[in-house]
Amino acid sequence: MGFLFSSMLGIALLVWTSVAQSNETLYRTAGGYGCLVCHGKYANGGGFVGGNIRGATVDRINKALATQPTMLLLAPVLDDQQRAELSDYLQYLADFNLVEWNLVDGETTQIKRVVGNKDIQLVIKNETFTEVSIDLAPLGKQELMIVQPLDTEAVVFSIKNRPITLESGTNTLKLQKMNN
Amino acid sequence: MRNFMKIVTVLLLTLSSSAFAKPIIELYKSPTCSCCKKWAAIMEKEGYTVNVHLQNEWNSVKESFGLRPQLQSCHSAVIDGYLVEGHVPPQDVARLLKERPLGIKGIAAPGMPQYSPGMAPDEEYKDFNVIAFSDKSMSVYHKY
Repeated sequence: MGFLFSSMLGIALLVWTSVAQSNETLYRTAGGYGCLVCHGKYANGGGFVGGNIRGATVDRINKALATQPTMLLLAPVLDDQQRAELSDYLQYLADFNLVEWNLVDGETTQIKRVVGNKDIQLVIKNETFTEVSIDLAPLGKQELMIVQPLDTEAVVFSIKNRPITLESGTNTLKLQKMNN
Repeated sequence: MRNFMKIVTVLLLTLSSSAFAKPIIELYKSPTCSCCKKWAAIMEKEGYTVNVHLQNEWNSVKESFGLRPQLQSCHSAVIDGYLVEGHVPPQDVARLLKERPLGIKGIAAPGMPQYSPGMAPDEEYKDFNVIAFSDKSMSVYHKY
């Protein structure tokens, strides 16, 4: 019985991951250039004209496609199913506590305070012309994250009560969890 | 003598106009993007001829110039042997064609900066960088 339950759970997780990846692919390719061009690689805005659209509902997407001058031509190529898939992806991203960390030349220390118990998606934008590697051990992950020059990458993790410090060259990020 | 001067004048005008004629822009864009049209209109106003290629993807063009994914925008323009990616201001294109720097394959305004040509309501461009790129390196070409 236990084996059956864990198998079903595993299959459900695989299907869910596959759907999430498919929706992410649509976000990155819609219209031939992808929503990321205007809204950033992780829908966090990324400093571009479209801004942060995390959590956008189908209604909001429909309204934007019907009224925003830069999006009008995109409307005919996105059917109802695709609009729903895009909304699912944006809702999925909204379930994370977004923390943005921009790596720049020179010495910086950024302190970010996180409220709530949601998992964190740390979106790291490398604004320098040097590839950086970040040791993710403080996040409980035994891996190095590589961020190419001018590129953006993200990592998801949960934060306990103790502060976390991440280092990348001359840039430091301090994360603190607030109780409310 | 008068006819000779006329011929010389016509020849000079012809030669000078061809010498100063701006190169043709081959613009690759998706049929679903409208801001690219505004950039094309700005370049036409600057005296360029713009040939628009409406395609769903033009990855082979970008790959042939070694454009990295993080530099991509909504459209790509091939101008006189260089790739100009995205909403690059016309003055940077003019400088590129005048100086013709060796060792770079093009210039890019990654993503869609809010205050760039075709996006900004006026010509006060700000808050973005134009990046010069080659296969191996990138650098700031113009900071707005």
